[in-house]
Amino acid sequence: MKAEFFNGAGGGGSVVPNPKVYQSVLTQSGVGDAPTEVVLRNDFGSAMSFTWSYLGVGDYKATGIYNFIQTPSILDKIVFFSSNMGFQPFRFMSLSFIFTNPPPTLKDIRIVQEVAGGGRINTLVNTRFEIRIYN
Amino acid sequence: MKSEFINGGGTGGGSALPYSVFSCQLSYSGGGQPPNHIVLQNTIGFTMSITRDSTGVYTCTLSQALDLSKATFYVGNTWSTSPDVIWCGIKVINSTSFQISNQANNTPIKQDGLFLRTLLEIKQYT
Repeated sequence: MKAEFFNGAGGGGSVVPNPKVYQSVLTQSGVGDAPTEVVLRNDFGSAMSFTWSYLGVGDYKATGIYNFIQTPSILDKIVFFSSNMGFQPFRFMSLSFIFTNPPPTLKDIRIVQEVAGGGRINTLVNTRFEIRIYN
Repeated sequence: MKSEFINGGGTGGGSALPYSVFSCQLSYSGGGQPPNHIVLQNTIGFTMSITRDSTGVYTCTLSQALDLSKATFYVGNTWSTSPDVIWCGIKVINSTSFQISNQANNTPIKQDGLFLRTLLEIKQYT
């Protein structure tokens, strides 16, 4: 495991990652195909995982087990981001995230993507998907 | 394991970070207002203020100058409250200021109110 952003405050003991990171690579191409995911780093262990499904063109769902509403709320300490790339031939792409459950159960995440000038599109190629939760 | 980014901030071991980082979460704060930012990590040490230039365009001003030859900027992705795809952009003005902007759904029209739990990150490499 790569120790990106580890905070070694203290003295040589165990280190606490700050932020805690979930990082994976997504690949998707065909109509009706769910994205496939390769998890590269998961500081949450068995508490965080996703099952991916296909909702429509450029529209996918990650059914999760980790509730992003905690007590107290951690929503102001969370960031999700991706690499907006991986489309060939090269065109600009962007994607956004949407919680699909009503609070207080924010576990499932919808991802919508589009290509500049072209609307929704099915293409994730080695697209980085990362969640960080800061202390 | 290569501890490329270990922060040995205590008295123990650990390697020095190859960069300092400023990370914050941007969220829209209301009509005609710049987005709020919540600082998540700040080892650079500056403060940042945001003002609204025009619809969907905001200037971020830093309290101290960056070395732009060794600085990287990142903004995105944005959460959406509807199935819209939000596009984020960033334009560096000078060593103490940059602009951020966004638009939705391939419409080349900038809009207010689109930043939601959006990562803004600056890394200053040494």
